[in-house]
Amino acid sequence: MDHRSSSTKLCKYVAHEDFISNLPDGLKDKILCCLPIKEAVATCLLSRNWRYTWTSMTELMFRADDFTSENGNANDDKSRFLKFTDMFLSLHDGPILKFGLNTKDVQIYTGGHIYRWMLILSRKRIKELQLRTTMRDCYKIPSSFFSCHELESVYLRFCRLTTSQLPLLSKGFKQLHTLHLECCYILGGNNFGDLVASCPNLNKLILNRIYSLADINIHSTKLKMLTLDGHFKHLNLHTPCLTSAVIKLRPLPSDASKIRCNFNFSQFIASLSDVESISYLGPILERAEHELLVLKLPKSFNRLKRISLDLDLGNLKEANLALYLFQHAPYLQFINLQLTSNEPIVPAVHFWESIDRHVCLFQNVRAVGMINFTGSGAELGFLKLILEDAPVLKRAFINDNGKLGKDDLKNLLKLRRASKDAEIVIFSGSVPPV
Amino acid sequence: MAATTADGSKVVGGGEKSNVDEESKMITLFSSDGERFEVTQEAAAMSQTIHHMMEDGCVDDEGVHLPNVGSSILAMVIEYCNRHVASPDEKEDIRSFDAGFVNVEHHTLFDIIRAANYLDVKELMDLCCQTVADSIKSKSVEEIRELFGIVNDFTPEEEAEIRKENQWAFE
Repeated sequence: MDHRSSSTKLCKYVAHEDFISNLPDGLKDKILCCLPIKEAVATCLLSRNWRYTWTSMTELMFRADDFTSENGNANDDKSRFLKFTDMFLSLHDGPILKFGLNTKDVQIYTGGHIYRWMLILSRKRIKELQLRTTMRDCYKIPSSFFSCHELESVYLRFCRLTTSQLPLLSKGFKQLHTLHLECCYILGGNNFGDLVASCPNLNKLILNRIYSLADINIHSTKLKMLTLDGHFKHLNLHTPCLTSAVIKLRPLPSDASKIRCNFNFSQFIASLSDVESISYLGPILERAEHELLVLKLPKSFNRLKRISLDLDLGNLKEANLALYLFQHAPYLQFINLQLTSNEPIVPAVHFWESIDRHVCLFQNVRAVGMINFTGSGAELGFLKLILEDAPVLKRAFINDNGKLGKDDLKNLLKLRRASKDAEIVIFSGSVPPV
Repeated sequence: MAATTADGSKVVGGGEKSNVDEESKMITLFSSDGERFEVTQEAAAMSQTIHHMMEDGCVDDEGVHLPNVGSSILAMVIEYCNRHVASPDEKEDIRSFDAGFVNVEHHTLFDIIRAANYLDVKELMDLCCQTVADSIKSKSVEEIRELFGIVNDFTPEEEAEIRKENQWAFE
């Protein structure tokens, strides 16, 4: 095979026989779907054979960027884009399996287009929907969305889901395996759980940068990957079969100091026996001062390989929880701690130093990251523990935000370590996740 | 066993290790012109058609007959599958391999597309269709016709009418 020339022979070749027009319809469709949509429509001029081929394209991607002209003004470009898409959809014949919309850099203020297009799509047996819209387009999810019964994968951005709006006639999404909402509002009501319940095959649920005032109850035994990132007023999760859980609780923009979310972390983590990766950023303990409830926890988290937590190593309760996790996750490989330190009500003095060194806690840990390291007693104690304990540790990342003095840093580098390969890397900037 | 590619170079089935490794099972494929190819089951499974046949137990001791695929094309498809199965993680290498792989004459590319369609090798179909699409991009209608040998069976008036009908697409 000639690997040297990069320009394909195809471009220079002039064909003597028309192979392309005689391809089976499915293949012609595939080729058209790889073209920018305007060029796909332009094939109607090639020959009689091609006149209507574009009208049955099954995968459509409409990019507002493709309609920007150098000289034109933005409004004209927008109008052309909207008109093109409207005309295309009205002339289209047959199923639309995949519909993508990308108006990322272009703001389309007239919201009606999403409703018009969704209504059409609901009659087109759509399977995959990707609406990458902009903030200004923030729209309420049209009710026709819930009639798209064959949906398998959904990506929506900058939209509002008023859960009490879930249409009564909605049969749910029986084939849906992936639902990804980005920068959305979920307002009031407690029907989000019903939505999830109506998706019996939901495998992956991603709610990123969400602002939710709703009661979110997620009960699913099929769900494998869950990401919840944002402000959630209330979370109740029963998802025992997760392999990956990412939960990042953000404070309200108006009240950056506190995260108000009704969520029981220890109960949640207790339910995840098969989980492989947990990333939890948010308060571990509820604000109420009750004893750490170590409920019916599984004997061990046998599959847990990665864990990422917000942790106050100096808080006795949090330290106990963390210790429990490390004791019951024998195959843990990567630990990432975002350290917090508040004035401890019950300080964990010498907690980490007093851990029994004869039991190997971090048997398989290869890397540990400690962000916002202040060099406090508890943090140093933990660092010493893991360095002296972990036999296969390769790297310990420490990010001190520039706060530690040179002597302190030098002392860190001198700490004893069990693993000969262990490296201590100190960053003053942002640390890459472990 | 070796498969012969279109330019005559020989490629060992499944990467060198499969000849030594007794665990990886081989499967025999017969092209339309009766030529015999031995492939690892792993590489053969990239073809959903063959994969389903293996799963359903439809493959007898003799092997799989592929009456729709000629030997030279089958050899190329096998080369593709072998390469992709051998080191699926080396993205740069695979990318340059793919680029070289589709750098062929027209009729060959379309034969590969048909074979990949029949054998249901999704990645290969995607690669070839994207290649064809890339050659169409940014070309005028006349240039595309010339490139693919498409005969213009419109009268100039008909063509003008279609343009007018679909004016919204050409603005």
